[in-house]
Amino acid sequence: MLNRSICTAVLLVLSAVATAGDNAGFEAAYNAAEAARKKAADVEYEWNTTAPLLQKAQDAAAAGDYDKAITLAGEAKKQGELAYAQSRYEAKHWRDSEIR
Amino acid sequence: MVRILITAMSVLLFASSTVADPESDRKAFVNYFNKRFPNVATESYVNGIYALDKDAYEQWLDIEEFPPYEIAIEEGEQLFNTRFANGKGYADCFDKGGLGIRQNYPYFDSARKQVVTLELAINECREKHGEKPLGYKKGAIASLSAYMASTSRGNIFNITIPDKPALAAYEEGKQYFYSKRGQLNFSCADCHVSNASMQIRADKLSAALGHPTHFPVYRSKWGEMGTLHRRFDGCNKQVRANPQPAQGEAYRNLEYFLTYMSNGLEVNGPGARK
Repeated sequence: MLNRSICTAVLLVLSAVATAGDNAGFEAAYNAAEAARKKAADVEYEWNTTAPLLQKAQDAAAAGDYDKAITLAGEAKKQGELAYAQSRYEAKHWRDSEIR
Repeated sequence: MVRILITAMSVLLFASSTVADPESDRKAFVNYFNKRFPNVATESYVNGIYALDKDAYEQWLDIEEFPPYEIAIEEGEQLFNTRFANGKGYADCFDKGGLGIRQNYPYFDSARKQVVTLELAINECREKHGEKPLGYKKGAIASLSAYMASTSRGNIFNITIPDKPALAAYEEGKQYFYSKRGQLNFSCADCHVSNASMQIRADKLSAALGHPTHFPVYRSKWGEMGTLHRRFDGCNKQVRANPQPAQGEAYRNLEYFLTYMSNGLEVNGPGARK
């Protein structure tokens, strides 16, 4: 009886530690994605697909699906980075398609 | 000495390739479409896609017999002639009482160093006289703009670039027009220059020349009137980019560039579009 109680307690503690770890992982991924989104937004190049991805990531985290949440945050981060890179490229090359 | 000459020539070459010459830009813009569509008269571009799509043009002519924007013109006239609470009206804010002036918008306000569109001027008039500003994309402002455009039909667009700050605003608008953006990596020019007349899903793409002349428009897709900045907003979203605020600096500068490109064409707004 005592052994079973100890096992249950250990499992609960391990589960809580794992959840806290997943949540911390998600928060790190989300914060990185939000920073990338904001960097693109600051130069007025944010894609309109990025904020919905971040919302989906939050929804997945709220439902406890941290793997999915971290994957979605990673996609959002990539979009933010690509949008910012797009802004830098266009700043140099927009005249290439100008009618002359 | 030789090095100095080479440096001077390099500077001159660099300058000539980067300094804007709006009139050369406009001529090149018009020539591009004239060469690409030799059977389309320049003045026809005010009709948007209907200048390039004969079948759609016939249907559009039928629509124009009972134009869906007529109600907006009537509503706009009523709003225009309704006095503000302080007894003043829109006519007090504009040259010529606000009638027959659409061809001069947008203009560059050198004192404030910014582009002023007709819709911005309408709201500034309201605020000057103690009224709340209107939303910029649809509704009352589209009706007011429609009425003012209707009183200007046939007048020729004559956008001026009076000084260096104006030229800088023009250049920013031009850069916006040619810059790719959004997840689809499309610029305004990609659709409305390079691919004008081409099919995109169920529709054909209009030419950028003449774009601003017929706004605001009643758009069948909207089922109501909308302003040019509402259309900019839609275009940006279609390429999966976050749109800029209507009447924000980016869209006002874009309108400035785009309307300058249509200098010499006539005001034919409001219009009806798919």
